Amino acid sequence: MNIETEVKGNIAVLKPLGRIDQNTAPSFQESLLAALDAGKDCAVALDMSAVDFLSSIGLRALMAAHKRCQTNGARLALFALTPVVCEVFSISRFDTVLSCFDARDPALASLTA
Amino acid sequence: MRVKIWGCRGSLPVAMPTVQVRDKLQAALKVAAGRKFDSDADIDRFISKELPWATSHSFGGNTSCVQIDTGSREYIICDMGSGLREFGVSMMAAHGPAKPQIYNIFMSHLHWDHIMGFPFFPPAYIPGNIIRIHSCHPDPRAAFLRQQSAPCFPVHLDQLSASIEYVAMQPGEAITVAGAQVRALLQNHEGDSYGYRFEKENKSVVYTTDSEHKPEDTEGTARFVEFFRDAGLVIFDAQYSLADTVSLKADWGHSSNISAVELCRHGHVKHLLLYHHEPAYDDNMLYRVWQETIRYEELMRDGGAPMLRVSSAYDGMEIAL
Repeated sequence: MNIETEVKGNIAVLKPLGRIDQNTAPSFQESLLAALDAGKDCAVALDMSAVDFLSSIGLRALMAAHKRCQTNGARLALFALTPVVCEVFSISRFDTVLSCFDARDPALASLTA
Repeated sequence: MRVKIWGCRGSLPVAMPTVQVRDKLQAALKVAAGRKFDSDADIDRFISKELPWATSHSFGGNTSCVQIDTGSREYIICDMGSGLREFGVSMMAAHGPAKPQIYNIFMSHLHWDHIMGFPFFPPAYIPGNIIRIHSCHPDPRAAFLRQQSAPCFPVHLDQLSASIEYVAMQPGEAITVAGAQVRALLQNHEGDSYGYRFEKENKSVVYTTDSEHKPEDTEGTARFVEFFRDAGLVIFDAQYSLADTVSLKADWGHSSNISAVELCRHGHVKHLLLYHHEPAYDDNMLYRVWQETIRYEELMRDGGAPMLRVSSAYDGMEIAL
């Protein structure tokens, strides 16, 4: 999957582009977990503004990332979810599990707090 | 082919508490405020046409039991949850004790919520009735014996007057019962469970409950998509949210509305019926899950793809194919 990456200190900002589904979820998960394993105190801000849709396997990749954070102490925050992805988060109840922010700044702030 | 839901609830039977009855009454009276009704028919029309679905209906609380009516004189039932009691009562009303019947029961598995209706199934106590229990599990009788022997129940299994036969099935091997071709598929559930596909004259129903689907299991996904292929109706275990199935309740053996829509869409299913409802959910919550599932189907649908109809099972619901 095409993912734009930017590093700000110990925070990696990842911006996946397009749909996260059966075809793209494996590479998305691999990139996300690699960023969360990058080093001590690492954090990932996931810019969701260019994700059109994500299916169950994409959601599962996010859950794998969430679990990785619980085991290795890394941190993850999502921001700028599109309206469709917001709906999918609500329907799947992922909005009760993952930290989601409207914009980039509060997401980054949550990771540095 | 017709389908009737006698029990739609998962895990444990539930009954609506008084507080929820009062909430429904309050909601109905608010809508009816200022209205005058000329007759019972007028009231009935008001209930059917003007009250919100979740006010005029209840999903009900009996555990798994579904009737597949193929038009044959023999009956087909999937699972013997607590809903089996009401089916049995209706059979006694229809046939009385003097007209023996043949009941073909297909067992998804032998967990308690799927067998608990059998001791309360009146036809089991009537000589001449034949009850054929079709199962892919090696010794289904052992589960029924444990349930109907001391100290669990006062009437021993061997005291039942009907003839009870156990028919061993193999996954993938089709058999013909009551004019329908029936195939079983192994599912992911503790102790194994099996889904069944019933086909007759270009009509098909898939009964798939107590089955966990893992999105990353591409081989398993492909098997289910093929099993569901072009089915007229798929009755699907959607007990949990997707978030639950991949976190707290992973490996609990159930699935979600999201997985239901995705598998049915890939299999070009016409009608999805959400089933095996979470017992902790009230009518409002189940209605919300139903509406959200309809919305997810819309979001997932490609431009020109045909719509997958989405319904949510309730006790007493009937569907014609």
